[in-house]
Amino acid sequence: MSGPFATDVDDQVFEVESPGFFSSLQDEGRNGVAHLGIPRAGAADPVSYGLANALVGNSPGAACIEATIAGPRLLCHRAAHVAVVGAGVDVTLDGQRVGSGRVLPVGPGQRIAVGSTGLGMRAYLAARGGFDAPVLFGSRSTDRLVGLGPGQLAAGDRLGLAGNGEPMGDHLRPGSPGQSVSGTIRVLRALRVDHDHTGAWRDGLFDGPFEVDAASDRIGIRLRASGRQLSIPTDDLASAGTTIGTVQLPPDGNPVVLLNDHATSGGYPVGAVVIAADWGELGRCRPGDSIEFRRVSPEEAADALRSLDRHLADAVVGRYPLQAG
Amino acid sequence: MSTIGSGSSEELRRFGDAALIVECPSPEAAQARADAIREATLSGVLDVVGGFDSVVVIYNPRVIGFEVLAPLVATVRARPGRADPKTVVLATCFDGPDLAEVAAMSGLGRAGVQEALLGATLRVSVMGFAPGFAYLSGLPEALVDLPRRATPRPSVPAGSFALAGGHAAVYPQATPAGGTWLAAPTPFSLTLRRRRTRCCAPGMSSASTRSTRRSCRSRRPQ
Repeated sequence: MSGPFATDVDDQVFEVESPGFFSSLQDEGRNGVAHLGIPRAGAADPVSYGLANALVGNSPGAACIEATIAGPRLLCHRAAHVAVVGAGVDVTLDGQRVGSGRVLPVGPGQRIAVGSTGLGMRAYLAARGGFDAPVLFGSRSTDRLVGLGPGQLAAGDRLGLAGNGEPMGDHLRPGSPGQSVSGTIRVLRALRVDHDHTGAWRDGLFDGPFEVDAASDRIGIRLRASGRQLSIPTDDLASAGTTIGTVQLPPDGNPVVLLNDHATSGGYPVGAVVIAADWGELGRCRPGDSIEFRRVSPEEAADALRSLDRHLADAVVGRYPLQAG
Repeated sequence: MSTIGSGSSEELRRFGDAALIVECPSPEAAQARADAIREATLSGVLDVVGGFDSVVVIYNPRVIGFEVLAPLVATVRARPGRADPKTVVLATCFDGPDLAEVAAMSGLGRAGVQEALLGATLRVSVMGFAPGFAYLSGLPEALVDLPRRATPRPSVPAGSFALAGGHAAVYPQATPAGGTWLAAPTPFSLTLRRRRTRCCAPGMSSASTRSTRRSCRSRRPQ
C-alpha cells in the first residue's frame, strides 16, 4: 500500500522497505476527547520518545516512529537527520551497526534500520522536523483500539516530514533515563474498590513478581501472577474513567496495566495506578519480563517525576555540527 | 490518604499522580459535573471523563498537582440540566436477530418491544467504551433487566441498535458485542454514526427512536 502519509513526491523523504513487527507513528497523543471514548494514544514510552525528539531538535510533540520488538527498515530519498532511542536497541545504516542515542545523518539511497529493540519492548526513531501524517483530534498518533490515525506502517509507505527542525544535540549522556529496564513499577494505591474487600488483593499485588504476558500490546500490559493466586473482589463496579497506568483486576486474577490505547472507561476493580515517572518503564516492559509493583507516597511520586525531568533536561549532550549551505 | 470533601455526597481522591476521581451520587450528577469541570478549562487538566457514579479528571502532573487542583475542582459546581436537550430521531428498523429472544424474555412480544421503544425518549447517559458509543438510559422497565448475551457476538455492523446492561446503544463501529441486537443499521443510523461526535454528548442530548416503517415493510420477508 502507498500509505496515507506523503502523497506528493517532493514530500517523500523515507520509504518503508520493511515495517518490522509493529511500527506506527506516535506523538504525545490526544487530549480533550476521552469523554467521547477516544483514547489518548501517543508514545507508550514517553521517555525514549522525548529523548529521540530532543536529539534531532524537534519540539516536544513531534511524531516519531514507535518500533515494537523488531523495528522497520527505511530507504532514504532525501538528506535527513535521524536518531533512534531505546534500551539496547540495534541500529544499522546500510547494514553497518551504528549507535543508538545519537544524531545520524542519512543521505539519498541509504538505508536506516532499527533491528531488535533490545532490552525494551519499544524504541523510537525520530527524524529532524518530525514525521508528517494527518492530524486527527490534535495528534498524528495511530490508535490500535479504535483505529484512528494512519495505522501500522507497511512496506511501500512513504513518509514526509512536518517541519524543518531546530538545532540538534549530538548524543545521549551515558546512563540517561530510558536506557535500561528496572523491573520495578512504582504505584499509588487507588480506591476504586469496595473497602471491605481490599486487604487480600492489595497484599497480593505487592507480594511478589508478575510475568509480562505475550498478549500485551498498546492497549494494556497483561500480567500473570507467578506461583500465587490473587483474590479479586467480585463486586460489580460501575464503569469509571481510566488512565494510563491503571492497574485493573479482572476476575481471573491476572492484573492488566492500561497503556496508551486503553478504553477510556472500565468497570474492573482498580488496585493501583502507576506513577507518571514510571510510564516509560511500562512502555519498555516486554513479554517474559518479570516486574514488581512498589507502593510509594504521593510525595515520592512527585519527587520521582522531578528527578526524571532533571535527568531528561541533562540527557542530550553536544551540538550536531550542521554544514552551512 | 488525602480526601477533600466537597459536600455531603461527593468526594475527591487521588487516582494515581495524573488523575483524580470525584464520586457522584448518580449518572446524571456525574455527567453534569463532568461537563462543568470540562467547561471550566482548569489549567493542566487534559481530560474529564464522566462515569456512572464518578468523574475522573486527568491532568498533567508537570503542570498541576492534586493539592492545587482538587480544591479548584471542588469549587466547580454543576449547572442544572439543560432545559432544551437536543433531540435526535433515531430511525430504526426492528429486524435484528435477537428481537424474538427479547420479545420472549420481556414478555412484550415483537410488536410490544417495538411499541415500548418507540414510546421511549432515551437520554445519552454516558459516552464511553468506543468513540461515539453512547449509553442510552430511559429504557421501558420491561427491557431494563434483560441479560446480556452469554457469548458476545464477534462483531455487529456499525449502526446496529442493541440493548445491554439496562441501556440501549447504537454501535458506532463494527465491534464485538454482548448486547442483544434489535435492529440492523439503517442509512440514518450510519449517518448518525458519522456525525456522532457532534450530535451526541453526555447528559446534553436525548435520542428517541422512530420506526422506519416503510423501509421495514420493504425489508421484512413477511
